[in-house]
Amino acid sequence: MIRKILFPILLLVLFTSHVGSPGVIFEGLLGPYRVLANINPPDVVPGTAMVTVIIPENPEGVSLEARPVYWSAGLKGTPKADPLFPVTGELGKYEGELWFMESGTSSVQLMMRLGDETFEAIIPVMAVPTAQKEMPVELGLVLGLLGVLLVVLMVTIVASAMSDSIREPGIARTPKTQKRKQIGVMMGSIIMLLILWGGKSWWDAESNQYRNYMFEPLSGTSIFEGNPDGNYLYLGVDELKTTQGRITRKISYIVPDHGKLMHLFLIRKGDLDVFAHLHPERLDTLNFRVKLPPLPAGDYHVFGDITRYTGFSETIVSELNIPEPSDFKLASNEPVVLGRDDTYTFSNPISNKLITLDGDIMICGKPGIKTDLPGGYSAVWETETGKFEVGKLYNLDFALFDPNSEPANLEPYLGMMGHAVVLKHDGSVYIHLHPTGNYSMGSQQMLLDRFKSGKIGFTDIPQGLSFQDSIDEVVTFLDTLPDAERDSLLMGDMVHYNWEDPEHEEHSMVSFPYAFPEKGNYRIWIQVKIDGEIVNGAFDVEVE
Amino acid sequence: MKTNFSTLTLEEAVRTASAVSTWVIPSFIYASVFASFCIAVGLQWDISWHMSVGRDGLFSPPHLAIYLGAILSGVFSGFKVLKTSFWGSLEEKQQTIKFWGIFHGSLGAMFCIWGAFAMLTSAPFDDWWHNTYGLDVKILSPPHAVLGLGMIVIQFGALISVIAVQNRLRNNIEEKAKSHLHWLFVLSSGFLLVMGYTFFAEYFFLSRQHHVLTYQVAMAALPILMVSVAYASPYKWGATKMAIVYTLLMAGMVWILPLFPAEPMLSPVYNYITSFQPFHFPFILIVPALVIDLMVAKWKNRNKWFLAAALSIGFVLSFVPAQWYFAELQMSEYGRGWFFGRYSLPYFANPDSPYRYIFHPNYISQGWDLIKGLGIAALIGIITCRLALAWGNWMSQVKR
Repeated sequence: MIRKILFPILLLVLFTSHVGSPGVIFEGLLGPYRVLANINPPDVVPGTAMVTVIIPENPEGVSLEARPVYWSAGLKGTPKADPLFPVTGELGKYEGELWFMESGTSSVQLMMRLGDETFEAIIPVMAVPTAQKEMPVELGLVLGLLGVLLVVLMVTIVASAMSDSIREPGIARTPKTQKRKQIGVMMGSIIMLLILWGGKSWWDAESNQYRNYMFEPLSGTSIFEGNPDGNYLYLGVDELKTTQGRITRKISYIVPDHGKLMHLFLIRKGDLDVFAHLHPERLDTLNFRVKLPPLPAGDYHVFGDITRYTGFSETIVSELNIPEPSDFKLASNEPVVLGRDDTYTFSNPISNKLITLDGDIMICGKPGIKTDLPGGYSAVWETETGKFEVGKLYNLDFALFDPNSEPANLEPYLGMMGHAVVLKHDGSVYIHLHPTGNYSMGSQQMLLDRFKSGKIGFTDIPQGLSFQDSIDEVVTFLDTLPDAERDSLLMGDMVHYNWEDPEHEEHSMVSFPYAFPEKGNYRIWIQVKIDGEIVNGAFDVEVE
Repeated sequence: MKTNFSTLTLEEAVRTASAVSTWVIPSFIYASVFASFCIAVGLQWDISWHMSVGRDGLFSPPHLAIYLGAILSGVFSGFKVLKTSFWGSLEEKQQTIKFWGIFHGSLGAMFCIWGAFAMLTSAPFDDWWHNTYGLDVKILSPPHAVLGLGMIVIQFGALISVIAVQNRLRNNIEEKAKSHLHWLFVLSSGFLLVMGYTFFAEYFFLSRQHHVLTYQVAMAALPILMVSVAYASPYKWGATKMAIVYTLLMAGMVWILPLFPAEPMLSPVYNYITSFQPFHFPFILIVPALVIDLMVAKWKNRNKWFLAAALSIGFVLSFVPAQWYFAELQMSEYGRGWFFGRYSLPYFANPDSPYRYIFHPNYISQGWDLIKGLGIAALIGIITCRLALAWGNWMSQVKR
């Protein structure tokens, strides 16, 4: 039933594919127009998602529609689309509600009709139940009163049925009928109590079942190991319960996203002063390993982003403790050779305490202020007001400059013009952004491939282990390719929505669309490639 | 002359009484029975809607039919109770039950009011449920149970209203009113049986009909309605007539619904349908109904436990083989036409499923399991038949 969410009493939102940031944001071209979409996925399944689309140019004569397309159902298995309606008073803004009926990998197919032409985009949406809600007091009162009325009336009915109803019309009540009536009241009360007790047990059972099927993020155990050739992080992924999507979330279905099986981010807890973006290799289905850069001791957040053949992308959440150097002094003193795409950076601690780190320390920028980055580069977070409100869709625009303060020439880094990671200071929100939005592009690719195949359902899909082997071969092959060749391969196959803005020097700017999900302080790391070198920047922002 | 005179006078007196009695069936009883019809049809239609279209709103056509039933019975019964309580004559009040110190109502009206309130309660409860645990795409969930109880109580209220009038007036009414009462009784009992079946329909799918659980559930759910009606019925063949109404309504929906176009509106769609997919073809309940009617007519005054045992065993022995082979017929090539609605498959089911045209291998009982299972079904039946006899005995005495 299409109903507005009447009781927005979200007690607890668990994490979806990105930690604490359930909204899906998309930026791209539909025909000639730049389009921003913000999808608020359902928090219970079956449930509704709110789709908001903004076309900044607000063109005349376009009509928008959307439909939820599941990986398992494909385009053919999806009913006709619903129109998105213009929002009165807000030019170029459209809205609509879509039903997501099953748990699993889904998407929003956004279609824009312009004259005879139709342009479309597929935006991945992970449809999983995440919300656990309680009944609001007002509703509880109303239902309670109605319940009392129903119980009392039913007891009256039972008592009357046993006594008065079988009395001849016109004959007065006798002590005998009175007694039968009293027995009736007792029996009616017992029956109603039994019904209420049964109903309560049933309700509890349903509630428990819902909780069982509620989305649980993948967790893992990270272990630090000092070897003669360097320090390593071993990540063992915990197995999922059988209620958590046995096929959709099968761990052996991992596919490369931007050419990598896993994008692993290490951020030192508390101060958020150490940041590393690494790409572990797969040892077996559940175990991964990566060489660590020389990171200082401490407790780290570990976030591992993965995508699967079934399009289901999510973040593995873990923690790592790196011991004091004395524990592993025996390790080689030779400089660490990292993977060519792996990078790390130090920035000032959020608490502004004394900086104790060795090496290049970057001071985090603020919106609107030019900030120096390691390697002589600099960056400006360009904003109109410098203020950010919760839930509002923004383009986070960063302009980059080379050591001569000239606009820098950005090159693709892992197939994109830039990557960004947003972390709330308390660690409760984590997300990996691209200029195209915050969805997994690997997931989008898997959905597009699947839709092209025309297949429906979960039969006729590859076996986990042979699939895993063939994917490992692809990743090994990609790793042997030179940068340019690999980037053209990664980008060529991908729908690359990078609009050209005549106001700015081409490719000296990178822009990430995002809506902050909660109030509070955030740190944002951006990663771009200039002159073949990965350049990191970090910024702090307060969201109101 | 004198005799003639007095006879004439008597005839005159009877005629006057009959003239009054033409209106002895209060309008709320017609309304309640019609409400019961709306609910039975609306429910079958709603299930079909969920199999074919999927997406619905608070005011989808099948919901409107069900709400119409709730409103009709609630308003007519409520109005009748208020009218009798505050503006009724002493004689009217004497024919009703006084409750809560101020109200005067018939038992049937009280049932209908309860049902309407239960249905009203289920609406906000269901809405909250959908927002909390997701849309419940199944027949049985706690809020649906409240709604279902409301519906079945309204239908039961309609039946009780008819019976009470019948019991109160006996033969003291003219032919037309008598025939109306007869019809109202048959229809209201049949609509109730439709509801009783549908409540447990998740166990009654054709693919499960070679499994004992189907028959155990059937013995728990169906005799209580059929035996009580047969026992309380002032007319011959009460259960059979009830089963005929049930069969015609359910089968009618199977024949009529597919004539209307439908398009799935929810994803994922596996089965590309273009017309409404009907729900179940009815059980062959006419067979056990005949047995019940014969036994009740023959042994009505025997020991009730003896009668209950005979009825239960008679029900199992007649119904299980009949339905077993009737199911086989529906599964076979001969059963695939429009008549049984075997083509019917929800849009969300895989049309290439290997289980589509066979009895599901997980739900087949054979040998000792079958015998033991049917024995359990008969034991369940003895209890429900005994309850039904008590209930029927009570129903035959209700006068207010």
